[in-house]
Amino acid sequence: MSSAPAVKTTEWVLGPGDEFRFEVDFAHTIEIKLKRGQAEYFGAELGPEATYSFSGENGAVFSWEGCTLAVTGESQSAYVAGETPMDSYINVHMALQQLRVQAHAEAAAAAGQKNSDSLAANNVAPRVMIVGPEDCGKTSLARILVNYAVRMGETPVYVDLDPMDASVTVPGTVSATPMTKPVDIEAGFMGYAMSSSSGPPDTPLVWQFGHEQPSANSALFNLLADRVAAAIDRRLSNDRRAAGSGLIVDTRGVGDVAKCEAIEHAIAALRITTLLVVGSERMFSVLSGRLSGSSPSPSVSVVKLARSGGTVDRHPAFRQLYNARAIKQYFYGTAREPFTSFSTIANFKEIRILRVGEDSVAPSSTLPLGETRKLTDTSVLVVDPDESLVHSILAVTDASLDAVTADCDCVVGLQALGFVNVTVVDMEKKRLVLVSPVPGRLPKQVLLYGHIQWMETI
Amino acid sequence: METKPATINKTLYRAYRGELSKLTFNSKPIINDLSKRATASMSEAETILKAIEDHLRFSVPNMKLPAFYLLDSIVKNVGGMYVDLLHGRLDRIFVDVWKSVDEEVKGKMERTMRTWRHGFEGGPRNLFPEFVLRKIEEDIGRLRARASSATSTSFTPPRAGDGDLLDDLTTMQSYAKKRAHEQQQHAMHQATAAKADAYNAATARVNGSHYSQHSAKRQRAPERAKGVLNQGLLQEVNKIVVKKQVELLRRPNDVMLFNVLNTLKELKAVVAETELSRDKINDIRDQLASLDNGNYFAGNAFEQVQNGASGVATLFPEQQQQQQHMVARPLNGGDAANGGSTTPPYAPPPMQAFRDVTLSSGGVSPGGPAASVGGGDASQLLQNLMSRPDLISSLSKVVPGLSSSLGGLLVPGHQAGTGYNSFAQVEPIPLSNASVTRKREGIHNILYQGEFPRQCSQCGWRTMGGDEGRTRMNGHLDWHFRRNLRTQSEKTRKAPMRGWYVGQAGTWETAALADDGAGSGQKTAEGADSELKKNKENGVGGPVVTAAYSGEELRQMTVAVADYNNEPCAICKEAFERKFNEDDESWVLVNAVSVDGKFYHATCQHPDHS
Repeated sequence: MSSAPAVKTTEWVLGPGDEFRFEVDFAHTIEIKLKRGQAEYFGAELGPEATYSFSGENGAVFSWEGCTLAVTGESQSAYVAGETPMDSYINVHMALQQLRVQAHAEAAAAAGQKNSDSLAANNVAPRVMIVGPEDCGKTSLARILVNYAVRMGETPVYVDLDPMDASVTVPGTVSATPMTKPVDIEAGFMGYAMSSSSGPPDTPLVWQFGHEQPSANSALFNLLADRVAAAIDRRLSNDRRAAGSGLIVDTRGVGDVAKCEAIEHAIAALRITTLLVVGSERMFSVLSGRLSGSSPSPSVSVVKLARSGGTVDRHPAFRQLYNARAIKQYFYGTAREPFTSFSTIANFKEIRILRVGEDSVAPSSTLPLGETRKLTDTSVLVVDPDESLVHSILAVTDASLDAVTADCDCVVGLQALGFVNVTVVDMEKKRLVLVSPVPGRLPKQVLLYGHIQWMETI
Repeated sequence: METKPATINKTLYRAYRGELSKLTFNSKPIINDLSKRATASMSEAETILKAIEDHLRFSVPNMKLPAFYLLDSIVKNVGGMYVDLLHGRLDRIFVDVWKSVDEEVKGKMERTMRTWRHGFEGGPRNLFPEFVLRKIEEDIGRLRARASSATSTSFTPPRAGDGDLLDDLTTMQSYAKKRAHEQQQHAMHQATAAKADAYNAATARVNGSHYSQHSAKRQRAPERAKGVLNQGLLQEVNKIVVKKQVELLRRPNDVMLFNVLNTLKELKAVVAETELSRDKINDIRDQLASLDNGNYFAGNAFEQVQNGASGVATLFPEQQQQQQHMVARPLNGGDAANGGSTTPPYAPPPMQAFRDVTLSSGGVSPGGPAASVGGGDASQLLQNLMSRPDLISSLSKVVPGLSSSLGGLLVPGHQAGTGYNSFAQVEPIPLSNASVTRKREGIHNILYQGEFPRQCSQCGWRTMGGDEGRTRMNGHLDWHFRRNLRTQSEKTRKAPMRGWYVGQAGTWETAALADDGAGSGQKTAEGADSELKKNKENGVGGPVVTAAYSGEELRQMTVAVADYNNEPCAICKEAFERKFNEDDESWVLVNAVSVDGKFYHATCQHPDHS
């Protein structure tokens, strides 16, 4: 397939309910143009006159009624599949939408009765969480559900509890974003920062977690889930409309059902009403058994969904490139919507770098076979700047230096204002050179350390 | 069509009327359920039809369309006896409903009727005999022609809910407070119903069949050649109509008041169209006066019906006779609604209309008194709301954004083919494995042409049809245009910055600090605001959107320079002001930003700068 000469255009004809799937690596780019009919890319409709280019993506263009696509460029694989779980996905959307309509109506009725304490909408608004094993299409399903909801005028909050795969921001974080426009076809969730005709860009709430796996520090992860829930509640109490649209929560894939305490905690914290289990019968039966039995979440409806045949097991190298691109996009935007970043200097004495959780207690090689080290700690440690900081992604927090000096524990669970990348650690002049998304001095001097690193390559 | 009371099963009639009262909006499940009941009661088809007929007659205009769809559903899905029984009276039912609804609903009714003709499900024959359907079309055509000529006499028939819609809305909103009052009324209505039953039985004995009275009383008043308009009387009637409308707004679920209002409107129409003798006018005036001043409508339903029952005899003795005369005449259903072809020469139309009040107040009560307009609880309120497109449109003025979701619930076009055209057509989908995996053919159409027929060809963005959709699409295209302009100019300059996440402090809370307790006591919402301000003063941070900087803030931005070679601003080519920063012990440029090693005035570089 890859022996073809440089640029060739192929026409693909999709029948009703067919899906054009492609895998393209980071070295290549393909361009897709809709020639005839209608099609959607993870729920976002393709514009009839637009050309979309993809690189480093496993994508799928789905058509309900059939279409013709012109595909230019070289891809690792490209094929048309007839079997998709889209019918059940759209049913889920419609079922959720019915709940949303009900929630809006109840909110309106409550507003009419001048009943100030009208969080009634929250009772029926669908708060959906998607769980499943790794690489089963959770994020794709979340994207489809978000897009369908937005297309019908809803503003669901997209909650990303997957610190490994970057979505709206750099990896190693959890975030909550009110979605007012469809997820951009090319830029993905990163495109939240693009403006749209429906108003200014969406603003995500971001928390630095600092690890890729929730299990790396489950105490901190659970704490962050609580913080996310609290922040969302505050936001939704001001905005009835968004409250009725509910949440769509994406999670880190879990291989073993026994190890999903983090998910269960998040279900309770975010008051999930609907749990979608993708591609795992076992997880479905275990979770539905557990959730129907437990008292704190009596009203969770658990639904199992088939995984799409197009899901691809991403190998670690692909993930790495994917995340590196996400960080790059955080600082420099996408080709279509570029951003400028700025170099700034911070003296050691005017900043404080903190980390949450104990680290390097013992090398992992000393642990018993099959065990991974778990940090269950939310104690805060001061990181003394040294060369090991170089290339780190540090979160800029909202805490002030004084507050931290008094009690550094207050940074636990603080939101991130943004991220800076350490490019140079100058031990002689005792200063850091940082890449920052905003020019000038850092607004806050308290930085949170994470294990995510990135080196700018041109 | 003459109906013997014996064929009416009263228990079933009342039960079905009760069920019908739930049909306040076009709900497929309710219609299906009611159709199923109709199937089960095939042997009692006459009763069911009677119930639907009466429901159609006495419910408010907005609820007629759902009931009409039910009729359509029964005809198509149940068929049998129902179709046969409807042959004779379909015309009257159709025209009665048609007359009382607005243009949009009229269109929907006609569309539904056309599905009867072309044979349902592609069948070769019409659902009803050709002559039945043609009769309806002729009647409609005639009524349309008359309506267009009536407008030229500056008279337009008023509709229910013609009052200020916002008033209407507030009334609906305050339902909850009136709950207690309504329940009281409800009790009264039930007592009334018992009375009315007794009365009906009595009249039935006197007149042979009280049901035929119902057919008779709907007979349109004679339409004489339009003569001199009696302006004075018309004004008086108008005044009372307005008064009653206000009263109705105050007590929206008073069925009798509603009927009175309808009668008054009919009367108004008649007065406007008919030449009346002086005596008759005086007569009407007297009636109006008593109607206006007396406690006839004071809300005491008891007295009302009692007055009505005896009033028929005392107030209109000669009409009583005339009515009996009419009852005695063989009436056929098709004829009855013919609007003016059967004219008792000596019946003054207003009197006829007045008697309607008394009869219909007796007739409507058994069906479920508070059914047609409003109930107390939230879901009922919602249903009412949904059955009132006019209210929703006015609601959208108050709560923009709400209308789109509620709009999705509005009575949709009757499902024509297999596909879904609007979200409201989707049957409730429970979140269960079986329900979710079932394939629903054409459901995706809701996301495409069904609800959002307008599409932007540049990006695939969709919006709804109609005027609102056009406005939105224009806004969207304007946005594309502005964006293209901006990206072109940005290429010559530079990309914007991403900025910090926390902006729009009002929308997204600044931080989760408020509940952080120790160590961050000062970080209240106020503290966060002042922090934000400080950030701006420092020339850094601040909201995500660069546009949030005012000109003053931009001018205060500084950038530290180590190796500055007096290069001017790369945009305006003017020199920078320099200042020594005591804290940093370094020189800074005022009103400056550094981009890719080049320095610009912050005000020049700002995207708003032109």
